[in-house]
Amino acid sequence: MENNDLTAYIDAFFEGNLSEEEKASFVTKRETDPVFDLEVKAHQKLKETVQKQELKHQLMQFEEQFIPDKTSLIDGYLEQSLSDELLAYVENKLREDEGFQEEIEAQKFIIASIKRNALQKRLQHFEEENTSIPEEEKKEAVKEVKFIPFTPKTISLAASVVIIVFISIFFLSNPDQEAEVISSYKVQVEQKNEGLGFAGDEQQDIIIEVIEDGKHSFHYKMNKEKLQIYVEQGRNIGNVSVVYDATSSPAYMILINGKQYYIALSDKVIPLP
Amino acid sequence: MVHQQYQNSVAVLLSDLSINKESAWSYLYTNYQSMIVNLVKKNGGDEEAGKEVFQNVIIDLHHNIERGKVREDSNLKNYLYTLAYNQWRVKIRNSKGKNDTLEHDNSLIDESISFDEEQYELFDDMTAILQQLGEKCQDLINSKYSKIKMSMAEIAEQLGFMNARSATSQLNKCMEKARKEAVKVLQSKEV
Repeated sequence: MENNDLTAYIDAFFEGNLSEEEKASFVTKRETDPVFDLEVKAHQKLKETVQKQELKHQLMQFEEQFIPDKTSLIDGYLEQSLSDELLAYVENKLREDEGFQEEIEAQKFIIASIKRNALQKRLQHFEEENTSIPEEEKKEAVKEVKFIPFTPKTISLAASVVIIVFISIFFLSNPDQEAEVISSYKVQVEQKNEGLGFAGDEQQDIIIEVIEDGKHSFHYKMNKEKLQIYVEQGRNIGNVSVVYDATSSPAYMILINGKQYYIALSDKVIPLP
Repeated sequence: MVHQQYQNSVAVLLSDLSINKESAWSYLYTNYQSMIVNLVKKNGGDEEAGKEVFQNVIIDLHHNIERGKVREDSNLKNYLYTLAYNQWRVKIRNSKGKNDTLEHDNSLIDESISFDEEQYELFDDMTAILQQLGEKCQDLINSKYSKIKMSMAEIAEQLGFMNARSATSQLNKCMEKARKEAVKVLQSKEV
C-alpha cells in the first residue's frame, strides 16, 4: 500500500483487506507514531460522524413520514381518525406538554368559528334568495308593462276622482264650512268687579253666533269679538248672556238657558265645561 | 395494544433498534419524544430543538447498543431522559458559556448512565468539518463510509468518475483535507 494514500491504507486495515503482516505493521505504527495514531483516530471519527449523520437523516425521513404536521395531527385527533400509534403519540404529548392542550383548544375554536361563519353566509344567501324578487321575475315584470294612451273616458274618470278627493280633503280639514250659523246677534258683556281697576280689561260688546254642527254638540270657540256656540242639528238655544270677571279664572261666565258656564278665550272648538 | 412486543421486552426493542427497524423507532417516538421535547422547551429551547435532541438521543442509544453498553434490564424511559438531559445541558453551556442547572424531573435521571460529553461534542465538530467540504467531496465521503457498503467501482459509476482509481484518488484528497482539520480538533481536546 502506498503511503501517500493514507485513506486507502486506513480503510483497508479496518475493512480487513490487509495481510497479517500489513496488519501487524499498521498496529506497530500506531503504537510508535503518535501523529499516525492521531490521523487514524481522526479518520475513524469522521467515518463515525458520516454514519451518525446517515442515521439522523433516516430518522428525519421517518419522522416526516410517521408524524403529520401539527395541524393535521390535531385535525385527526379531533376527528378521531388517527391510527392507534398516532393516538398514543397525541395522548403522550397531552400528558407531557401543557401547551399542546391549549393548541388543540385553539384549533377547535378556529374550526368552530370557520364553520359558524360558513353557516352564517349560507343563511344570508338563503335569506337573500327567498326575500328578493328573482332577476327572471323582474325581467318578466318589465316585459308586461305596456304604454296605454289616455282616452277621453279615462281622463274624465281620473278628473272626477281628483275632484272628489279634493273636496273630501277640503271639508274634512274645515269642519266649520259644513256647519250652519242658525242665529247671530250682539250682546253687551257684563263687567264684574269693575272697581278693582284692571286696566284694559273692559269689554263692551261681543257677537254671539249659534252654529248648527253635525260634529260638535255644546262646544264653543271664543275671542274678544265673537263667541261661537256649536249645537247639534235641530237644537236651538235661547239668548246667551256673557259676564266678564277679571278676578276670576276662567274670566268669562256665559249663561245659556239659565245655566252658567265658566270659559276662557279659545281659538279652537272645545266642549263647554 | 400497539407495540406490545416492545413493552414486554427491552431486549426485542434493542435488537430491532440495532437494525434500524421502523416499528422500533415508532415505539420510541410515540412514547418518549414528547417527554424530551418538553424537557428542552422548559429549558429555553423550542419544539424544533427538542426534536433534534430526540434524534441525537436515538443516535446515542443506537451507538451504545452497538457497543453493548445498554443493559436489557435498563429503564428505557430514564435512559433516554438522562441522555437528553446531558445533551441539552452541554448545548446550553456551550452557547451561554455557563453551566446552568436545568429544570427537570430528578426521578428520571439515572446517574449510572455514562455520558461521554467529549464524544458528544466531537460529533458536532466533525459534522462542521464535513460540511465545510465541497459538495463533490461530501458525496464521495458519504458514499464510501455509509452503512450501505459499496465498492469504489460502484461509487465511481454513481458519482460520474472515470474509474475506481480516479474516485479513490479524489476520496483520498477529500479525506486528507478533512483529517487535517479533525486532527487539530482532537489535539485541542487532547484525545
